[in-house]
Amino acid sequence: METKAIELKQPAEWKIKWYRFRKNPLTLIGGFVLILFIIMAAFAPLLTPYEPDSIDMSNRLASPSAAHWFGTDEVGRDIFTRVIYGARLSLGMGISVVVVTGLIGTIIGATAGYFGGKFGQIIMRIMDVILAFPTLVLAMALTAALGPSLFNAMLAIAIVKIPVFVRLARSETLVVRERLYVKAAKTFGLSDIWIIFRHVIPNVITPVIIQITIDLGDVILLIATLGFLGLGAQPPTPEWGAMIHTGWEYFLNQWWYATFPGLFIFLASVSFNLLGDGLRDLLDPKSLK
Amino acid sequence: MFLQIKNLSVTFNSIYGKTDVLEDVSLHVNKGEIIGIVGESGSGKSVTALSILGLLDRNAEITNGEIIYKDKNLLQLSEKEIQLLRGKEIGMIFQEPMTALNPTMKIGKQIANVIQKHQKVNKKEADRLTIAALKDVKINDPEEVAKKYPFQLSGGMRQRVVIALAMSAPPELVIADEPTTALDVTIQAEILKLMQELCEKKGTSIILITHDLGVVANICDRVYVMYGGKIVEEGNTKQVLMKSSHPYTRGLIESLPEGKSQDEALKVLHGESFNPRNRPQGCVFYSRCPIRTEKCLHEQPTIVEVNQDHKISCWEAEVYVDHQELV
Repeated sequence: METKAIELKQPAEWKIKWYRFRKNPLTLIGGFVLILFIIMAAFAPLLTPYEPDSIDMSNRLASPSAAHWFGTDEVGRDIFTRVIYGARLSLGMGISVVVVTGLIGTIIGATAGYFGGKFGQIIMRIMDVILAFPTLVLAMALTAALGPSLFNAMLAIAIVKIPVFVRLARSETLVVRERLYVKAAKTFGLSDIWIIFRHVIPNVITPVIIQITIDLGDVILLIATLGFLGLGAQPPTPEWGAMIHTGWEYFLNQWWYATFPGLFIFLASVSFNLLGDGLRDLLDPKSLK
Repeated sequence: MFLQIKNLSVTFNSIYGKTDVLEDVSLHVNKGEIIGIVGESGSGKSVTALSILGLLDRNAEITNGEIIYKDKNLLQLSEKEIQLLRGKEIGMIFQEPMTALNPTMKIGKQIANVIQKHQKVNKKEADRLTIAALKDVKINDPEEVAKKYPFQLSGGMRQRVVIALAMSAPPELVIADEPTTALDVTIQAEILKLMQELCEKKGTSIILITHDLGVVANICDRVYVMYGGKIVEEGNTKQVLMKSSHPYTRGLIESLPEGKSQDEALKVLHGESFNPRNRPQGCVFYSRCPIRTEKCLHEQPTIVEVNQDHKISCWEAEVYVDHQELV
């Protein structure tokens, strides 16, 4: 009798990952909304006939209509246009702030963890001091001290966010540092700096990437908050927070002015959080189901 | 003499106080020679090796001795100076090939990095040398392997890669810390043969740390037997294995199954090593020694030269030698 070997075919790794990614509808929704946002931000000029700062005083505070989907503001600017240009700003700033903060934080954390000792202790205590303040209060205080502007708001957010990444990278480094390949790299004569960048950081970066996606929503919220408080982007910049800042004065009679930017802030931060959670489940081998 | 360790003593500091892990260890390596260091776990083999490279953990303290390498005392070099020796002149091969390679970097790149560092060549040349290095360690289709990540290779392959890495400078001395322990027996033999060949080809000296006397018998020119942080017997491999006169070495040899008939019971060294926090005043082997005397309890044995190639540290050695000849 002829026997045939049973073929056990393992699906490709990316297929398994894609399957698990798909299984979680919330992640999918988060990802979908984000892609919409990114398309919106990228093609903003094509999606609207108006300019974000073209004034039309004869048509101020108009309610939503076919011509102005989200209505107009107190000087007749189209709110839909301003909101999608705002997506450019918020996503762009949010992503660049978090990525830069994440990378700098990782380098600092990996260095602190790798060398340890007094050097590591000093860095970690500085981070603890930053962490001791409530995030928003510290960000407000820093922006207020530096002077209200978009750049200063970003700087302040970077400062209040960095301890998260430093601590994360350090704790992972403490594990990796004891791995044999780090010691082996030393016996091959490679320098400490080289080892940190080529052997330690690539092995601690995954949780940092996850943290970056999770923090993105948070940072977008922070940028908007600072804008709303008048500390971040200044009018007439079409920034969501700054728009609400002006819009809430008209809220009782012109609900659309503050509502639409607010809705977009909500959608952006929720979808980043959902995606971040989904990615964590996906990339973290410990959460395998 | 090429490398000489003189009276090296190392202490570990911990919350329990000081623990002496090496006591008065002296050994030397000649050019192109393979020496073996044997001993059980915790006898100080690895500590000896790591102190040569200055890679002891932070809590370790060298309390005495010198390590002379080419007329330089390695213990007095700055971290920077010793960093220049690592890999370039003194390489190391570790016990666990599974974890000795960076999991996030391709094999070829890992080797090329080290080659570039030591041989000061451009990237293209380094890539070419990487392939040559992989060929040297008997890896078939080195081009393919160079493109792989460590997790895609088997243990034996990885150990070859680690050897290629350690040999890439090429260094003049390689410290191999139990290079075959994590491998199965057939691969062990291949790896040992490979190391021996590379050693002959490039004139490299090897310090082979192991607890396998069979390995020592196969490839070592001379052997040092360690127990409790001391060298208890040293000499020409043949002399030490055939005419061992220290009770510990004899115990080790007699506990091997080779050359025993099927129903003959193997001899066992009874008891266990002393607690390192509580070192004995006299001979380190006292608690397990079958021929101990009152003197051994109180006084540390001096080193006795059996002949030029064979030294032991035992009070009763002479007696034992005679005794052995009677048997």
